[in-house]
Amino acid sequence: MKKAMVSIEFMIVFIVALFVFLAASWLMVTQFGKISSTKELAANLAKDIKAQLITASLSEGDFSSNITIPAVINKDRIKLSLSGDPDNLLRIFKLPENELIVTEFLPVMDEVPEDINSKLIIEKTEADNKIKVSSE
Amino acid sequence: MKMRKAQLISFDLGAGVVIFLIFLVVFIGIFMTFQGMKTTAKYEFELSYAYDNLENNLKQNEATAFFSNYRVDAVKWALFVNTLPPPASDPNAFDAYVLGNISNAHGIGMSEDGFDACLSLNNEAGPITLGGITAIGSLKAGKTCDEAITEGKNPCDTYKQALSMFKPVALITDKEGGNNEIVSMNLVLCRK
Repeated sequence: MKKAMVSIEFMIVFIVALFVFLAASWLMVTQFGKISSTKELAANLAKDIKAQLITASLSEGDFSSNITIPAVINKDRIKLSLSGDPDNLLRIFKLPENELIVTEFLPVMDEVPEDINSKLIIEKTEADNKIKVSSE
Repeated sequence: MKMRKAQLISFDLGAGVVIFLIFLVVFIGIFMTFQGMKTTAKYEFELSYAYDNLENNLKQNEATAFFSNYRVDAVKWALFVNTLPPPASDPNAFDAYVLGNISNAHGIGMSEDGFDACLSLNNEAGPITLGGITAIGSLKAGKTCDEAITEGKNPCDTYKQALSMFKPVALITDKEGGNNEIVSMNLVLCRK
């Protein structure tokens, strides 16, 4: 075997190693991007819900708002959970592993639903000054 | 000396290219991570509701509701200042009005524990003294916003982050309208 042939063999091994490395990097970046965008979209949904609740909290008259809750975000199934006073928390979980991906503190809610389906209804009436959250 | 064909792409050159690419990927990774960290350093969107929350919380006691509908009532301001406990006993008493929730109000989903708030009024001549003080609120180590602003110091000097907001309001000192003026209401939030 000539000396120059050893160099070419090394080059082939390195090219294969480099290809594997780049493919692994691309996979990691894609997967990381997917996870972060699921979290990002879920965080945006939580912020939308919070903004509506803040509007209800600060409104002087009657207030009512309907929010459509997606069942899937970025191909990941999600589940929302609301905890009433004193916690006043919104949590979003990724299914099926039940991984907590978003936690958001909310204004004080007087009534919250046990389960959240496809629609969240936020209501406040001037007469009783209570924020009631229900789900359909 | 005549160069052989295979020597054009040597082992050293190949290894050099691979190491260069690895360093490039690491460098881009670090750069993107720092870019991401910069984005997370933004302030919370809820803070933009601080003035509205203060107004809403003040409504819980009409007698001391000094700020309502872009108007600041000088008499009620003085009354409100007297209702606040001394900073030593409750340093977050005023912060609760700005970021928390008082009585039956619902708040904005924030806690008064994370920030110290200072509220003052300014006209062209400088800070306005009402009810014996220039600013409402208390700071770290038993210091008050009034002391810091009277001394001309930044109230948020020893804090992690400072956020300042301005709102033009009508200062009502005379109910007949004779001595009323448009002033700037300044709200400073210092992140602990």
